[in-house]
Amino acid sequence: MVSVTGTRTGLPARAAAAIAAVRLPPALLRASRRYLTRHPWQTWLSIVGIALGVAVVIAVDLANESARRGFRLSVEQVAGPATHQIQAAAGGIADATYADLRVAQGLTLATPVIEAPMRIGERSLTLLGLDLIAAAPMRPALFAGATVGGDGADGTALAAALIDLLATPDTLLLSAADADALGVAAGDGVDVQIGGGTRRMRVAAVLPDQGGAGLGGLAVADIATAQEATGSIGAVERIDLMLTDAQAERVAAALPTGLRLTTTAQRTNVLAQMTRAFHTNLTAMSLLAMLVGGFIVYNTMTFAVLQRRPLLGTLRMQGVTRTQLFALVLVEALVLAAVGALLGVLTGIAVGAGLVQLVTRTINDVYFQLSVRSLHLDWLSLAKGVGLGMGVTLLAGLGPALEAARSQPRDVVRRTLVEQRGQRLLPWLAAGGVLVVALGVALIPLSGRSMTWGFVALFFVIVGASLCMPLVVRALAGATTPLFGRLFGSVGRLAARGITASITRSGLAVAALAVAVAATVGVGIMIGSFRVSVSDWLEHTLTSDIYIATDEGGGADNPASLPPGLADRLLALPGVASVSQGRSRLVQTRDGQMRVLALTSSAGPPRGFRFRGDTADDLWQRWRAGELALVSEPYAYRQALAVGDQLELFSAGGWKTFEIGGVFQDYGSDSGTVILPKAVYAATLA
Amino acid sequence: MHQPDTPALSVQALSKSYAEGRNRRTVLQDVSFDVAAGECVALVGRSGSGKSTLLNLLAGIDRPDAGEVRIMGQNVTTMGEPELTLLRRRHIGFIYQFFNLIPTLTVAENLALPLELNAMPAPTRRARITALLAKVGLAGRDGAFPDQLSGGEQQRVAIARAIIHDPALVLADEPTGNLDAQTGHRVLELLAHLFRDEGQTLILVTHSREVSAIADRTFAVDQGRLNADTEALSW
Repeated sequence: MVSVTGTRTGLPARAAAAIAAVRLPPALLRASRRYLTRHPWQTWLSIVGIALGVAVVIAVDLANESARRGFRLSVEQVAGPATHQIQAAAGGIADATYADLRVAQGLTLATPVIEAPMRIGERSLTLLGLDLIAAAPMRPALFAGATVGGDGADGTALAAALIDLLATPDTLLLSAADADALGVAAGDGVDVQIGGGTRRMRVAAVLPDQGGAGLGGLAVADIATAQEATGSIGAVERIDLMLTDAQAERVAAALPTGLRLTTTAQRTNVLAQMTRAFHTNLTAMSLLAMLVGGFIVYNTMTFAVLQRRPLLGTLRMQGVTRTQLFALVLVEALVLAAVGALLGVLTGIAVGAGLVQLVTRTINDVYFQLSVRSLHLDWLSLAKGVGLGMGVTLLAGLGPALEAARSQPRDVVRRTLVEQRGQRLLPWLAAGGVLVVALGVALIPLSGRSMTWGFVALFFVIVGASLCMPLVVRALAGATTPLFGRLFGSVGRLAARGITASITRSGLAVAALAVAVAATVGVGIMIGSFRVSVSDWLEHTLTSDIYIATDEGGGADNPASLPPGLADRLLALPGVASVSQGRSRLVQTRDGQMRVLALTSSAGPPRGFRFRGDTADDLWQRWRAGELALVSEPYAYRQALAVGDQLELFSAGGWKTFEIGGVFQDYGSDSGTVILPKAVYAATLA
Repeated sequence: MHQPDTPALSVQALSKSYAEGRNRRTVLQDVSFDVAAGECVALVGRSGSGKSTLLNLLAGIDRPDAGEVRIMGQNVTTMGEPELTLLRRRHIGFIYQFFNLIPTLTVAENLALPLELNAMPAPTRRARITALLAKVGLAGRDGAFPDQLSGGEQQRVAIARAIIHDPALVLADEPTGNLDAQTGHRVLELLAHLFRDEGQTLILVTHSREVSAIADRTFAVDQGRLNADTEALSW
């Protein structure tokens, strides 16, 4: 019996009666189980529908969570316990500034930092240059248990590693995971590609992995080694500090112009926000898969109930109550959900392992450097996927369960009334669907820039359209019956009328197919349109014949430059009509970072811009004079900026304000780009 | 529940009509009769005469336009759906023309379901099922599924299912209508023997003279009215 014994346990009479009302006799459960096993295609269709929905939700959630976790660990690795960071507007922070902070301000928990991308063989790492003596008290766990190589000194492993790194140029620490992957040990030499060149360095020590918070992806070196490797002798990228609130106030007030104090949390939050929309998008797509799975379950379960209508009538005749039939169908849904969820979890983990690489690659390509070596099995993600799968299945099973509960004993003998109730409901269903669609359409403009509300609005539109589908299908089937009759004779008429006769099933099947096809077509059109737009933009933007750039190096904040005078030499070549020059780097705004592109051209204003809407009067003249800046469309949209608004950029001379003269179409960067004349850039931000 | 002098079934002034487009077709008019406990009554008539409608009204499957039906003194026509369900569970057995066994349950499990619904303990259930299967001549077939049985065997199981919970009233709608003559005869003999043996009240609906012959009384349903004189009825 699926029950809990009543009065013997001392339950109140009402509770006992309620439980007794849904007690399912073993014979009934057995009949149900055998029905499912005797209709394997039907049963497995439901299970696969649930499993696919759960698998996609779990795969996306695991991939997203692994990426977020990788990002959090990366921030923890790089920033360590630092609460604040001092950053320069441009060109790095002079060594003297750091020295002054320690001496004049009396700050002992501070270390200069240089962070730069590097490669050893095929493996991408980040070089983290620190003042190792200053950093040691801030990061004691970092050096615990270091394996020392070469002529390692006496004393603790920590001291030996520090001495080696301090005393010997071009030495670095690697994590055990990276060392194993590269096949190197402490004491081995490695060729490091960094700053546009290759340097021979030695692995001074290998640090054991410390659970999830190890050094994976990082190569630690003394600040001097990092300065030499990145060509930034005499300057550092930033200063990491551990400060109380009072200390932070004092330091911020004492900083020279061109330096800025931010909290680690602020910086982390800005980076996290950049990928929030990306993660939301993926999640929304996965929920759509779950919705289609729910449609499949609803349809197959409804079919199963209608198929057993005479049987259900027999059961009612034998004294099975409506409540028991309702519970029986829900139990069937629960069993299907459990099997489907289990398969979905296993499939989701497998798919997630592949998806996490794609997610990481996208984040690397579009947003920032991120290293995620493996899928992190987050139990909460698994629980969420299973819960959602079970919930959607039970929700999908509610309709068929109610239908089963409506079974009458006369259904045993009256076989022709199966669809009548459904047919009567269609206009009401469609009316409800129209209302839901209207609600969704009304929500779209109200959703503003909120992606979540935008998806909610789309969800209403999808559900509303699905509710209208049976009536539309019935109308179309009825209208096309004569045509099918003329084309295919009796068979054609039979087919068309069959759809109308079983509209409660066929309508829903069409709705599920329509949703799936609509989503596929919609995403396909979106991607296709995007591709066309990007292609069109590239054609419009890339107006030059040849583009010359340096190899990647020096870091995003201060990339390497082309040799001076190159532009003039190129212009002197026969056949060269004009040369444009550009320099790009990251710059701080009030809301985070964006890219500044400084342009100059030997012939007239820069070309290749397609502006959205109107531009300021005398745009190029005022732009060259430094009065105006051009911002990219993604940035303007996110920050709700328009022509005439102000944009503040952090420079060596403090915050500089620029009026926005135009918003240009840009598919090159999601974080946003501001275009300034090279002369203005050199005067204010370089 | 049952008073010794109360009829097992009492029908008073029962009327029923159905809507057909804008018109109403009267199926039963002012039908009245009583059936004593342990009696077998046959309702005979041509197709469309209203006899199956009458049976459905007796079982509480349909509601009459007027009149009342009392089973063991309880007014079925004023009962709500939950009470009707419990009444059917405990006190009514139904035999269908097309057997209507549960295809995914074995013979024994089909018989077990009414007993489980009535919360009969498992050992008692098993004993009763075994005994009744022997009575209907299907001893040893308890593990067979309906699709493994012949038509006659399925109807035997259906008869056993209808009486296994010892209902006060058994309703049979054309119990041999889907069987060949020889098989139908054997099933009829079994039915006649069983109901005498078990002491239940049996209402038979049939258009077969042979079937009605096992009844204590026969009523003819003709143009919605009940007539005790069946001689005038053309078979």
